[in-house]
Amino acid sequence: MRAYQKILPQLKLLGGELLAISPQTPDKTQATLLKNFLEYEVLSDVGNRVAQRFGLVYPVGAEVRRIYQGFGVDLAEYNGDDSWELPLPGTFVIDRTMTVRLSFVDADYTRRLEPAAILDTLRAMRDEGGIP
Amino acid sequence: MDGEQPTFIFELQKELDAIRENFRATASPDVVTAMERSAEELIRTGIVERALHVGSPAPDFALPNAVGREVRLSSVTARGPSVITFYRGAW
Repeated sequence: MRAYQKILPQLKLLGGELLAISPQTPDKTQATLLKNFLEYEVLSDVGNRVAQRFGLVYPVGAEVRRIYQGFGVDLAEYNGDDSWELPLPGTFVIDRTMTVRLSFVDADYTRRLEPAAILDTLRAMRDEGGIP
Repeated sequence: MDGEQPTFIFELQKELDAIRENFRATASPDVVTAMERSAEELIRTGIVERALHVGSPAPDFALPNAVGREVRLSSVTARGPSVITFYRGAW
């Protein structure tokens, strides 16, 4: 999350806005903001209803569930439900016509989109005159 | 400042690779195997291909922020391009 914070000034100069979305309850989300000194909106998608519409939700298998519990991670407490479902990490750029302009989804939990790729997309959108 | 200047070079993937190597080196082999097997199984379900792709219409939504104020995607995109990133949580 801190990685995206670092590109925030450039992202804003390009007219963009950043929204982070997690299944955590607003209380836990506020803790995340404070812990990481984040300066962008972090939205609470309890029950993964929005993540579902982006096609990102999957059930956590029994084996991994036991591992998380072994680490002391109780998803039911963080997320306010006991579904043990999570969103895949995914990043999207949406333009003013509500069309997806960049989509990055990975099932490997240690991969993320390079923040520079987001800036490249925003520059391309600006250069085609898509940003007022 | 015109937004084009490379004020820094941040290589997130390198940092994450280092975290992964550290995880492999310090977590128990059973845990590493289970996590990697689970990631492979997930990829085989085709979930990545089914997710929203470039050119798709984005669904509009309204969600509460950290202080409970509702934020609507279409209101944000009306002002400019919106970058949305989904994450699992900060645990």
